[in-house]
Amino acid sequence: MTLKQLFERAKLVKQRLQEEESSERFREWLSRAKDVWKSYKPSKVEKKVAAIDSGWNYRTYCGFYLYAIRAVAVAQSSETVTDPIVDVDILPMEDDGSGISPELYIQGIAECYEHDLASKVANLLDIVLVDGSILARLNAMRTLSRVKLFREYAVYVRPLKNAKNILFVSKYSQDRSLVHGALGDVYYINRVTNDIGYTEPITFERDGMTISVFYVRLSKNSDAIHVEVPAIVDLEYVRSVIDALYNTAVKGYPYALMVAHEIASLPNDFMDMISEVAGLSVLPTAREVLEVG
Amino acid sequence: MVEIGIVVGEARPEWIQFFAKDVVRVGEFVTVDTVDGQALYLVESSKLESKLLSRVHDYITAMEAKEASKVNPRDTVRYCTARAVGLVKDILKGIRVYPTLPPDPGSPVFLAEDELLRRIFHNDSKEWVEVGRLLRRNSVTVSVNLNKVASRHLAILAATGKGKSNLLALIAKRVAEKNGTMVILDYHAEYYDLKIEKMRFVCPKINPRYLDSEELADMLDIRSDATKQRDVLRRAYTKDVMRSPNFWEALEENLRNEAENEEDFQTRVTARRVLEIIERSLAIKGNIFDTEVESPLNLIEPNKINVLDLSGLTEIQAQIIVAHYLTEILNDRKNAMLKRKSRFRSPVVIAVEEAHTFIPQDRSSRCSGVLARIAREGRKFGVSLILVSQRPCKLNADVASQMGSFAISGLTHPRDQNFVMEVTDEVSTELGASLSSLNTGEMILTGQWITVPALVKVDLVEEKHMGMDLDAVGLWAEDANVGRKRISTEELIKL
Repeated sequence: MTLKQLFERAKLVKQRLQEEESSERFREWLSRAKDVWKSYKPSKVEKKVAAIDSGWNYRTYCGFYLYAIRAVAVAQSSETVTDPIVDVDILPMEDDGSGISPELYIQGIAECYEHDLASKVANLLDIVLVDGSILARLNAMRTLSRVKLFREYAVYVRPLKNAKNILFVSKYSQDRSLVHGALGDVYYINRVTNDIGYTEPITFERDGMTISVFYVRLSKNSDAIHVEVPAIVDLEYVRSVIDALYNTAVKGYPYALMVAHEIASLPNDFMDMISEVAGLSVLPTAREVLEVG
Repeated sequence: MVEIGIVVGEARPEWIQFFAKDVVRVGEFVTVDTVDGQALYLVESSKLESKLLSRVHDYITAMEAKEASKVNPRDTVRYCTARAVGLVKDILKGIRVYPTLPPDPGSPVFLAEDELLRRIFHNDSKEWVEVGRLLRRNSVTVSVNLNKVASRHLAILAATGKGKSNLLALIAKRVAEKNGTMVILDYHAEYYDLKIEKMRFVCPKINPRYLDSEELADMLDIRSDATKQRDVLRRAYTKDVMRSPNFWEALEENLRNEAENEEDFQTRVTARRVLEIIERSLAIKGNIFDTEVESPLNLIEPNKINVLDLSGLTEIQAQIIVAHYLTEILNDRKNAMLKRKSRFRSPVVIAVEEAHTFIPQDRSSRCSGVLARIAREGRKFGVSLILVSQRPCKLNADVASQMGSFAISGLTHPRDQNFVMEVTDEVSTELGASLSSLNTGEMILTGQWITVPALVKVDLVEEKHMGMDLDAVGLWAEDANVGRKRISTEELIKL
């Protein structure tokens, strides 16, 4: 019964999208996306590139949860650029009365580790790629500012200020600041452009930082990616980023970020092992409680 | 010792998996330490994979992934599986003892050293003969035990052109060097130009008196469905005919009587037809019949390689001849073992080319009984078989399962591969999968005749020309020039 209702709702979404696409304002958004896009013919430039990513996982037990985090900074060759940061601990669900979910809490810690690694390696490399959006992170932290951890978040973000070579990269950006359409900018850009290129950087102020935002496409016929730099950058800078990254991009995504993602990930079977080593494997997890009966 | 990998995943006493640093080929030997001591493993599968390229679904992404993969050595995974062939200390004593426990996960995997492999595969004792070199180590010669061939049988199972005849010729050469007796049942005249010492070619003879009327009908090419002709022959083939000094005349006289005096017209016609068939058959292949020959064995020389030419015969005729010869050989060897008068005082090795013709899987042939008997009991009397076939799945499985040793190569048909895996316990699915990729002369030797299973490049028998494809174009050119005066270009211009 509910399935039928769900499908009916989904049909309405389709109808709405179709109506939207035939509207005048949709054509305007597409036209705007086309206007802001600049095609570019890159030339290969060798640069020292590394990527930063973190993997985390957790197990919920009665009264607490066990989490593990692994944050890495790696080159495309899989070599680590600096020592990774690992963290395993147990926490009660509402340690400081905030009541936020383990996901948000662990993600916050993992981001702190990523920022820490980024600031550590920035002096060693030409380009440091971080998976995610600094703007989205800072926005989320504002809403969680009452949590003790996130009052410390700024400590890890501050060193990134004016770091021109630290790039936050999002594949599925929701940012609407460029085209101002109903959907994210990248939706319209991908609809009307398909060649290697970029958009002009625009800047935002957030928590005392100037953040430049632009889009680039590293391979023809791939999706554009959203890039944020915690500094003021110009068009020349954007082009140099494409020159440095396009040659090893896979489906338009920087390869170093793929490597970092794979090395940092903490899949469930690893988490099982960590739980065993921590002596917790005999305790029932929240998931197992659901399976009873 | 060179460390080439690390044991990963589930390991069993008889089987391990490992990640390799560099390329490791199927057929390579590696060693790993176990609690029982150093164990030798044969690499059965070797996989090379780019994790990145495994995930792509279109050409352009694959091209991009190729470039990205180049800069990341971790992206390329070399994964191998290897089967334990025994503990090194025991193999060196000629015994196969498997480890009782698998190696620890994370154990280093070492490339087996050439010197160790030489000590394992090369043997100078008199019963051992050299047949080739390890496929992955050209400097290591491989010996096989001829005693095991002469007592526990051998099957050479390989696709056409993979070197079956070459291996058989090599074994024949080695048997000849040891003064052994061998009979090669040559169904396709593949050995007519083999020039090795002590080899002799035999045109098989059979005394029609020793055949029953059905066999005689088959030998005379009377169709199996011509029941009336066979009835007429049966009536004419009396005991008097069998005893008659003039066998064919006596038989023909009985048939003429029937053709002239029988009341039934149809029978008279049939008898005349049988007379015509006999006349034609004796004209075409009369030399195969010898009414004076006492025993077929007289044509086969002890301590020689006897090639029995069956090429001019139909399948049934060849089966009948084979049945008679093999029965006589087996009986002779029984007499020898009982210290009675015999022709062969030492073991006889019988090689059956196109073995699936003589011992088919789905039916019995005229000679399948005696071949099965030799497979079962031959060892007691010193008669052994070498079965040669390119379609093992068409071989009688009971007989094939009696084979103690195997040489296998190039089998592409899954049914043939499965058959091999069923009858030998040393060819696994992984190793079986590599069978089709072996080149000419490359074979898996396994079973009792070799110290441990191995992929071997079999030595080429220089004296051998059979089995090669014809140089038709060359032969045509040669033929066209026969008897013609060669004229140079200058001479042509003058003309």
